Amino acid sequence: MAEVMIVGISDWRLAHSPDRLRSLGLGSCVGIVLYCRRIGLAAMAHVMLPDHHLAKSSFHPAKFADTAIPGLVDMLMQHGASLLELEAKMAGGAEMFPNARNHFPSIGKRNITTIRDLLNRYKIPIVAEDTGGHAGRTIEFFTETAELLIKTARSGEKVI
Amino acid sequence: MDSLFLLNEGELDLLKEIANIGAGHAASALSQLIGQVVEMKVPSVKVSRFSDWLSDHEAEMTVACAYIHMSGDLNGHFYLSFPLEETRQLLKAMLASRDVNMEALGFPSLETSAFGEVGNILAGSYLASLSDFTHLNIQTSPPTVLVDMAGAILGEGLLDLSLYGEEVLVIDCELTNLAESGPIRSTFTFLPLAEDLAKLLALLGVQDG
Repeated sequence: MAEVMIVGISDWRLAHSPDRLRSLGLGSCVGIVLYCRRIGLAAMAHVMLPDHHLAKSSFHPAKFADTAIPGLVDMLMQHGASLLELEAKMAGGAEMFPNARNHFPSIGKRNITTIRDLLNRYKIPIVAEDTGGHAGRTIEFFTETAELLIKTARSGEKVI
Repeated sequence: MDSLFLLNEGELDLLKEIANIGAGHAASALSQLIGQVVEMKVPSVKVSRFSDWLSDHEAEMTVACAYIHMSGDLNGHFYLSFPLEETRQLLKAMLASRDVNMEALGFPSLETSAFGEVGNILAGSYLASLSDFTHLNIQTSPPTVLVDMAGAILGEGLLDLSLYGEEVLVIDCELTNLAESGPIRSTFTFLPLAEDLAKLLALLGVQDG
């Protein structure tokens, strides 16, 4: 029986096939999955902010895009994946309050840009993504098929 | 305040008491607004890690929410959320009409304005009583109304709070009407910035240990 592992805000988890990884209620946060098809291994992070230099105290590396990506790569390689085999899928990075005065304007976009840049540096291809917009998403990654299911409150579901 | 987990029982009780008074004012405001008796539960004040704050069920539930940003002496986030199906009852009671278009909620419409006004009035009465009590100057933004997953909406409030630590102080209170037409449950969620929380406690005569 496949187990569904929940990835909380600013956290990360590793899953082996056939288990699934799930992250609920992504707003401007981004759910990023790196995976290796050959060994059926995947790791998901629920990233909140782009840059760890913003932090004013100690933090979990999954909270910031620039510490989460290297962390996910390390985690997967320690469990037998090779860097050349890694692929990525991601969703989230919405702008939830476009009209409100806000500490972090366009934070969703900045999260996405930072993740893209970093993945590019590692030469990890982004196979599919569903990012931006103005609505929250819940995502679930199936390690067996490498499919990412995306659910929204008002515009249904899709698989990427 | 290095960690919110260092708050002691006495401090949490005090915060709960303040929340109680504020929520009482908000409950009477809601009661006047919809012309029905409104009951409130004792507020809960809890400190939790971001990753544990919302249960899976809560995070994925679709809610109608009015979000208000607080600034001035007390910075933080204030959310008033209703389960989507109960929002219709609320709007019916407010607009005295049978045709409430739920699809319009969150987009420029009468429904959105009315709902935003509920947020304004409830947040206003809650924060005014807090301000009276502490003499802190608290300013509120106009409400932003949206319909979405609770986790996606509430999570936005964690962005700035998250820079200071891994945990959040959440003050929640539930209000329920007693009408026969079915319940309208609403939840307040108040997320103060940790730095300002220390200021608040000091004002109330509690020394940060």
